[in-house]
Amino acid sequence: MSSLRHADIVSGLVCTCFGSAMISQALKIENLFDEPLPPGTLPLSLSIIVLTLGLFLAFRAWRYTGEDVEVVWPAPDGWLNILVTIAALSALYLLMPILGLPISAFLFTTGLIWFYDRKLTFALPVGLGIGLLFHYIFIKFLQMPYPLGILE
Amino acid sequence: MDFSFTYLLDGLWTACSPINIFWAAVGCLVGTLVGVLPGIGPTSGIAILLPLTAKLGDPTGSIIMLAAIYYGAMYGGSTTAIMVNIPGEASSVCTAIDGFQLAKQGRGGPTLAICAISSWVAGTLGVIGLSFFAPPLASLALKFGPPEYFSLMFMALALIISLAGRALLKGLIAASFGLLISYIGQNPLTGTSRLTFGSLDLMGGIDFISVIIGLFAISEVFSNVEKHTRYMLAHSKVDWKPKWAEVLYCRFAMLRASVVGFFLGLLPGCAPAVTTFIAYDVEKRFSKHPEKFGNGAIDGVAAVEAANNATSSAGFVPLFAFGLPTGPALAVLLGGFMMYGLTPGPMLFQEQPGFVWAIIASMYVGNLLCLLLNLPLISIWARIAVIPFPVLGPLILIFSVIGAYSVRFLMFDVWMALLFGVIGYLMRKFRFPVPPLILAVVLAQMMETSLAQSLMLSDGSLSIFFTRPIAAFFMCLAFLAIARGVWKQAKSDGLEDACACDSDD
Repeated sequence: MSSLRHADIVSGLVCTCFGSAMISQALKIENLFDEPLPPGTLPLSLSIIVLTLGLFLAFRAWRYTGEDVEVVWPAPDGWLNILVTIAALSALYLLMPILGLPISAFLFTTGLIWFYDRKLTFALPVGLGIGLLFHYIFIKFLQMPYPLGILE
Repeated sequence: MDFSFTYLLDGLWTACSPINIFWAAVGCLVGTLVGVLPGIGPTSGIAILLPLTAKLGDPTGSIIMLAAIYYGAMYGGSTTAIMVNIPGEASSVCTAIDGFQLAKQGRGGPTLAICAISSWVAGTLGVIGLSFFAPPLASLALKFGPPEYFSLMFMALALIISLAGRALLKGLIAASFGLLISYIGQNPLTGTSRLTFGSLDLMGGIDFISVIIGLFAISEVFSNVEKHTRYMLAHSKVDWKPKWAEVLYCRFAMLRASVVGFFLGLLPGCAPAVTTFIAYDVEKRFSKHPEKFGNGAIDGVAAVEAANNATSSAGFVPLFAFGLPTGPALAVLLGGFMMYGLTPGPMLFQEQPGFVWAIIASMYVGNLLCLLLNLPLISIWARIAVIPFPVLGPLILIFSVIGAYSVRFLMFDVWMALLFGVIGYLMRKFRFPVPPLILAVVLAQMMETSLAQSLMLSDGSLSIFFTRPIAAFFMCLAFLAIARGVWKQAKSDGLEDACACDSDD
């Protein structure tokens, strides 16, 4: 997928698959009341539109013979950064109910700043500041119902 | 409810008393902070402070403060959208499109200043409209039934043609995808479960704030970490003062968008999210440099902010005239009135003219206070540019998570924000335009509800959209926009490539 033409073919086919999956779901929607606009009408119509437009995009790109455009993908270390960011976010989501927002936000911020910068000079104070901000301002002062986890 | 200069001057006298100016200033400050902090919108801000105001015992001071929180939040809402590409609410999406591009060019501070000035202009014009024309305007708003709403939404959806730029097919796919994901969950009228794949989480639907945060903020971080960005924004100079030439350049954009935002804001349910998109498109058509839209058009940002504030001011017209809130924040504010035994409507103007006109007059003062408060704050926000990305990136992510979580307090929403972050990243790579998706997500529910209600009124006949004058007018505009876009697209050839704002490669 180093060219936009290939990317269009792939994204067109992905849209087609997504549209097909949605059609299978839309066909299951029951019309419980006799309404002029049954609840399945718009989802089914839009699923068909997504499928058709996806096919059209893929077909148009497949037939295209003009000058291509390059899609710039990240270098291996760029991919690593993205994957670590996704993993850090996933860990934050999983830890939030257990450790609570202040502690997990502290760990997340400190860990990710350290990963990007390799320096604890910024990572620790910023992480600590974020944890305290969430605990005292959002949870204690504003009484927002964020998970407290072990702090409860 | 009749306008009288005596009432307005009496109201100004009350609003300008030191204690009421103090409450207005507190409201403006809290509102600005509420707007800046992701996850706490004006609705939550007013709801949190409502019980506290009961302790004041003064209904005038309390309502002045609560109203100031509402319009103050509109001033603050653009800050994160411009500086770090986090539109905390749907109304800031258009601000983020051009505002963040300007911030990347080192113009974040002046853009924020233009936003504040634009907000003040529109807010003040909106209050003038409220003071002088509230009764006839409120009656006009009541002429809007479901067919008119649907045709207005349909016209707004036709803006996809303009927002898609050179990638109409991809824009249509993005919009259809946006509509489709909005229909996941329960049907708003019947409660029928749809497109859930048997998942209980999906029964509640996908919240659009998660979608917006994922597509803008999280995907922006991915795009920067892949390149080892050291500074996300140009940081060579931390400037915040706008050039007067820029303010003058934007003056007509502010005025046009104020009119658009004010009139559309009179309609219950017509949220700033819709009016800002319409104002943005109108301005693009009027602009001498439409090619700059999406790449950092200062007049685009001015128009969006003006529409946002004019819409919020216009919301007070049906609230005061009929006791009809046009959105959730005003519904909570209505609760504030009721807490003091006051019921907005024509009788309130007769029974409590001093109170009502003090609130209206306080909005003139409050808007000025918001401007005076926000201009110095901009120099602080502009310094975000000097924060290195390794520090700023994780901060953007953690505030994005909080923003997504705070809407419904569900972990499902933060997972959705991550998923849409990945989708947004791939959309940038594959040159799919993001704004049509956002517009579709914003409009989907209201479109479906008004379509269903219209068809009930007409026994299933679509002719209802062409036999009622206002509806027919909007439908004609929509079809003209579609025809123009399709014709322009048919003339072009080559691979579909969205504008530079959606693709930073």
